[in-house]
Amino acid sequence: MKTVIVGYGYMGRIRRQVVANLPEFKLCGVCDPAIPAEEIGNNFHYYRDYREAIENERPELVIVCTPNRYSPDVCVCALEHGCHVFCEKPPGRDLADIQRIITVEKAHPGLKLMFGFNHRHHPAILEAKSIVNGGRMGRIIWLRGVYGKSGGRGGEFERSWRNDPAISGGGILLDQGIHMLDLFRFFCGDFQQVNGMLSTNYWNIPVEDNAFVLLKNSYGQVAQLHSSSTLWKHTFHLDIGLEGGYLVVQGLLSKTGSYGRETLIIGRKSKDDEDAAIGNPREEIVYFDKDLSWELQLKELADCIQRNLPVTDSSSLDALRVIELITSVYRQSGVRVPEGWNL
Amino acid sequence: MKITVYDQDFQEPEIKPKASLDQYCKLMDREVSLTLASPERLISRECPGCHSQQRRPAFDKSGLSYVECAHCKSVYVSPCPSDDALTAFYRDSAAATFWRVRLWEETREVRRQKLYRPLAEWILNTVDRYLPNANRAIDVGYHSKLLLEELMLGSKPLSSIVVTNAIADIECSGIEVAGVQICPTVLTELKRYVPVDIVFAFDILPCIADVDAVFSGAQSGLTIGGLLFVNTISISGFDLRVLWEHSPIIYPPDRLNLLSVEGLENLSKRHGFEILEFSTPGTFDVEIVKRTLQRKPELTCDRFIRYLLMERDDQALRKFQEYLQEHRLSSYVRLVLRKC
Repeated sequence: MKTVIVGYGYMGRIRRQVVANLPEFKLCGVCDPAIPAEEIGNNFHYYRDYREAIENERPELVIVCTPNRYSPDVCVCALEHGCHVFCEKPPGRDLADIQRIITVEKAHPGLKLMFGFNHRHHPAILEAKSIVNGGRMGRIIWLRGVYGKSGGRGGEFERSWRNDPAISGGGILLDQGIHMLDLFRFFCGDFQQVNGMLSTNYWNIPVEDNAFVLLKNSYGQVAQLHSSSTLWKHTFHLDIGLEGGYLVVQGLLSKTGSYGRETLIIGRKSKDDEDAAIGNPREEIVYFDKDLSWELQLKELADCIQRNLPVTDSSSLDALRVIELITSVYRQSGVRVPEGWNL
Repeated sequence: MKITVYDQDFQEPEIKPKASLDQYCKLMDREVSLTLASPERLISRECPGCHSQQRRPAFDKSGLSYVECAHCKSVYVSPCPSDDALTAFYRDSAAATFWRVRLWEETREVRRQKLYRPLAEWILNTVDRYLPNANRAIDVGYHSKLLLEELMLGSKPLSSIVVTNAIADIECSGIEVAGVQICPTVLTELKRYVPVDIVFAFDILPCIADVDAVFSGAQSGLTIGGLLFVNTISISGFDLRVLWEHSPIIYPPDRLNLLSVEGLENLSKRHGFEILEFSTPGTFDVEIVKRTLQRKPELTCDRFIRYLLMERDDQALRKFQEYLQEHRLSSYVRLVLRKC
């Protein structure tokens, strides 16, 4: 499948490696106006303009790894040129961006569109999901997630495009917390009640450096998120409370390993015939040594394209719903959102 | 690949009371020397892990010689009794009968709660994860009764399990669990009961002569993507490496094959399996070494290990055992393999 990558920053380079390892894809062009052509290499064509890349290469798939402000334009252009699209999260800066993408998607029903909610495919999450789906530990009662980073070196972090609302559209919640909100939906479906609070209490940035979100759905399941760029230690932690025990996902296999070893703790409520101490249940800890999330997602997209199946995982609907949650939190916190949003 | 660690609060004597275990080992030692160790009935064999023929003597137990593979460092008995002789031993010997009637029965409920319930939960979770539509299984392993009850009497059991180990009629006598069929047979005759989605091979690898038969039988009997569950004892584990021939858990014929981690990986890959999980979730290594050193203070042992085990508190020892599990250094091994 002829593939073009638009945006060759951190994510674009990861995607290039993944594409190179999957026989379903053949990378033919890379586009990034900010990267010198020498950095790209000679194995495929280099473009500074994504329209030119799409028109010249006529790829079947465009992988969009640009900053949030540009993602919708690239997605729309690719769809309008008859290309399938894989777009990194977030799907733009705001609700209008994703709605615009969806409008074009609907006009091209034969094309596939997937977003980069790759955390669903991390091994500990997949294992937790299969335990929940297996049903032997009962239904989910609550979720609690912490996802955060240190922010890094002050000046560098504060100058990052990720903290420029004109380009990013939001702060840590939109950049990183979005993954955890997507996982909440992955486990519990849609949430109808949304409460949130933002703060910018450390970094000198015009977007939030901490977000606290509380959600509740029609099944009574409650989910709580703390998304932060002032944790100082890179942290990923998801607790899942079930009727028959609990699951804890902590750490995250990543390129640098800075989020710690990815583990899943499985704790089971003692059965009536067991003499285990109440409140100190038997635990099983599962360690994972390989993150295939990038490969799994792209393979799934390839499968949808080749077999003409609808995208049901990390779809535009998933992207829309999670942006609706974030928009609702932003609105409650006084962040300016365009008129006419009825959330 | 993944690694599982268990946090369980129980000690080895709960499942192997000392008096009963001593009596079992005494019976075993006498009968093995008399019936299994006759040189004319033994067969020389290559390393069950990597098939290397290069080896060096390790130690002798009950008249049988253990050798160490020069390549993968597995330790195994060679020459070894045949599988027919071993089946007859497990069917008829006084030691095996003592295990079934006395030792097993007196520890039955502890075993259920501490060993077989977690084992069944792990199996069912693994099946949910990798093969949620699995239908039919065969069990070629030993000591299946409690596992079958835990697997099949809970919510969402497997639909059918055929128990095929050669002494299943004795071990599973009286079992009345829906979906379970008892059909004792030899490993080479499994074709009557295949294809299946899952093969259980618990407690069998250490005590048979032809280890390859389990893996080749599973490979030919499983559907593509089917799962092979295995547990065994590994010489790479802490207690066995420290105590070596003084280990109280090395006694033939229950422990004829002590494959190293590398030997087990080689065996799995040689038979065309993908390793989904390779864990050493043992909980007794530290306790076994400590107890052995207390009983036999004259044993040679690394000064640091002796200091750690004898002078440090339970919390340090528990953490050390967790470390062994986390880094695949406990002697109890659990594998999940997928047919490619």
